[in-house]
Amino acid sequence: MTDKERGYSLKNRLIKQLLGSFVIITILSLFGIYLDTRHEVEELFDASLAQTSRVLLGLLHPETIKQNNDSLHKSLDIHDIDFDIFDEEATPYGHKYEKKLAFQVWENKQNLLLKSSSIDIKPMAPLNPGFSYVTIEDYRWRTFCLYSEHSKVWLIVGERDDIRGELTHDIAFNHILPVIFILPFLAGVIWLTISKAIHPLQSLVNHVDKQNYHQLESVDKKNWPYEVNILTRAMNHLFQRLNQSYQREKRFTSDVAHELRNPLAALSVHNDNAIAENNDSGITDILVNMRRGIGRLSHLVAQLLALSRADREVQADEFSKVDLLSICQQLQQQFEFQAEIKEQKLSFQLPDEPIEISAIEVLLSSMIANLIDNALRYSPPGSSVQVICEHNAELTKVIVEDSGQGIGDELKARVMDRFYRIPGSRATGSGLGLSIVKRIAEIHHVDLQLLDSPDGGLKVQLIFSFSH
Amino acid sequence: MRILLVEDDELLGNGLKRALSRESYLVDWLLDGKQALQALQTDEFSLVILDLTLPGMDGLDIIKNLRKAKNEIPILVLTARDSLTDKVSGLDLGADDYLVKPFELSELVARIRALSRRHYNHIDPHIELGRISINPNNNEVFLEGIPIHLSRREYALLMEFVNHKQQILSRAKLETVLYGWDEDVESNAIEVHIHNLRKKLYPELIKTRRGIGYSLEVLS
Repeated sequence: MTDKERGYSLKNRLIKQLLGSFVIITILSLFGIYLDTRHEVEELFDASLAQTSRVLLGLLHPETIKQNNDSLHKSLDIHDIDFDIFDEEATPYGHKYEKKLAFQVWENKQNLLLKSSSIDIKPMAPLNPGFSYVTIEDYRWRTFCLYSEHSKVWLIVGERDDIRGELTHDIAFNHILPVIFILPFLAGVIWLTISKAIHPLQSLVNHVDKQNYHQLESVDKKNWPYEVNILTRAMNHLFQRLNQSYQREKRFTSDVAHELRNPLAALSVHNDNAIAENNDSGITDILVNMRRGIGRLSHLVAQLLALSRADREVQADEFSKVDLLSICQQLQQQFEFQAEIKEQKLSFQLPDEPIEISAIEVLLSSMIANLIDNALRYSPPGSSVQVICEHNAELTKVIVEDSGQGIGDELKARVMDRFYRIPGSRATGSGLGLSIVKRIAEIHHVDLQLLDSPDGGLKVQLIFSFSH
Repeated sequence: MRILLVEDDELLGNGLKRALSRESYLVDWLLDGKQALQALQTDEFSLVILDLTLPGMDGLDIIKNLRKAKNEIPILVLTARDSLTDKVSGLDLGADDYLVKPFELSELVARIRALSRRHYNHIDPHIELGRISINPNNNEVFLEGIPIHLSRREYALLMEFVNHKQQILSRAKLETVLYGWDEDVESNAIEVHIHNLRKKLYPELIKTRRGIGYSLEVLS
C-alpha cells in the first residue's frame, strides 16, 4: 500500500487537531491572563508608589536634610554592601532589590538635595507632576513626580519596571506550568479514547479480511457504537445479497445441466428406437448422425456438471481419507464398456495395497475419470490406453497414457483453457475435460504434468504431494 | 420377463417402454411413486427400473419400503441425480444398480441382463438346457446348435420357464407375465404360445399339469 492508498490516519488527525486546538486556546487564554495580571499589578504598584511619595514628601524639610546631610548620605549609601555573597534576596544588610528602587529630592529644579545611592545625580525624570516611563542605563523605570508648595521641593520616586514584570511573569508562569504538565497526560487520554473508539473499525476490518467470497459471513452484533453499527448493518445486507446471488449463480449451471438430462435421455432413447426399427439405410445414416450429436450434448452436460461441482471454494472438512486404489478399480469397471465400443485396449497397472490419500472422493474420481475418458476419446479405434498407479514412501503417481495423436508443446498450456479444443480435432469432446482436471488438481495440490508418451500419444501425470 | 418401469417423464417413459418391448421384455409403466409401490407389493415383476424424482413418493422411499418388506426384486435406479450422496444412499438402501441419465440404451439393456442373471444365479450368460441353449444377450435360441426363430412372446414365455425351473406356473401368472395390464388377453393365448414352443423346440419341453399349470421338463 502506498501512502496515498493508505490515506490519512483518523487517529493521528484527531490527536493532532485536538491537541493543537487545546494548545492554541491555552496560549491565547494565558496571553489574556498575562495582560490582565500585568495591568492589575501596574495599578497596584503605581498606587503604592504614589502613596509612598506622598508620605515621604510630607516628612521632607530642606533644612533638616541639609543639617543631616552627611548621616543621610551615609545611611542611604549601599555601594559597600556586597549582596551577591548571599543566596537569599533578603539579607541582614538590606535587600538585593534596593538597587531597583530610587528617589531624588530636588530644590528649585536645580539643586539635588538628596538621592538614593542607586541613582545618578541627573534628574531621573522630567520634573512634572505625575507618572512617566523613563529609561536609565538601559533599564525601564516607572517614576512618580510630586511637588510640595509648602517646602518648595520636587520629589521623584522610581521603580525599575522589571520588578513589576517579575511578579507578572511569576503569576503567568504559575498558570502555564500546570498546563505544560497536563499536556502529555491529555495527549495520552485522547489517544486512548480515540483508540478505543475506533477499535470496532479494526475488528470490522479483520472480519472482512477473513471473508471467503463464496460464503460471506455476516458480522455479529456486538456492543459497538451507533456509527459502526450502521456500517455493519449495511455490510451485512450487502453480504446477504452477495451470498444469494452467488448461490443462484452456482446453482444455475448445475440446475440447467440437471434439467437437460431428462429430455436428453428421452431424445437418446427415441433415437435408438428409430435406429433399431428403421429399415431404410439412408435414414439410418441420418439417425446415427443424430445419435452422435446427442452423445456430444450428453457429454457436454455431464462435463458442465462436473465443472460446476469442482468450480467452487472447497472447505477443509470435505477432505477425507480416500483409497486411490479402489477409485481406480471402480473406474476400470466404469470404462470397460466405453473402451469396448471403439475396440480399444484399456489396461490398468495397479498396486496390491490400498493407497490412502486425503482427498475429496467425488472430485478425485472425476479427475482420473476425465483423463481416462480423454485418452479413449482422442485415441483412434483399436489403440491402447494405459492407467498406471504408482505408490512408494516418497510419492504417489497416477499416469494415464494413450497412443493417440498427442499434443504439441505449444498447445499443452492452452488445452487446459475452458472450451478450448485443438483445431481440427474430430473427436466429440466438450473442451472442458482438462480444465476440470486442472481445477481438481489445484484443489488437491496435485502436480499435473502433460508429457509425451514414447509412442507419440499423450501422457498425463498426476503427482500427489503429502505435505497437504 | 416382466419389468416395471417407473418414470414420470412421459417422453422418456414412452421411448423406454418401446425399446424394452423390442428387447422382448414385457414392460408395465407407471408415472407415480405411490402407485408404483402398490403395484410392486401386489403384482409380480422380474425387475424394476426406478426413477428417483417421482410424484407421489420419492424413489429412495420406494426402495426402503420394498427392502423392509423383504421384497428382493432387482432394482435398477435410473436418475438425473448423480451426486455421490444420492448414489451411495440409493445403493445402501438396497438398489442393485445405478444408471445416470442420459444413458446408452445398449448399456441399460446390458445392465438389465446382468441384473437378472445375478438374481436368477446364472453365472454364465449362456443358458444350457439339455438340447436347448439360449444366449440372452441377443435373445437367440438354439436347438442342438441350430438357431430357432421365436416370436417375442414365445421367447419371453421360454425365459419365464427358465427362470423358474423347479416351479409350476399357472396360466394366470403366465398371462400377467406376458401381457401385463395393458393388453386384452385372448382366452387361449397361453395355450397357443405353448403349442408353438413345443412345435418349434420339442414337445416334451413343457409339461402340462392339469388344473394347475405348466412346468419345464429338461431332458438331458
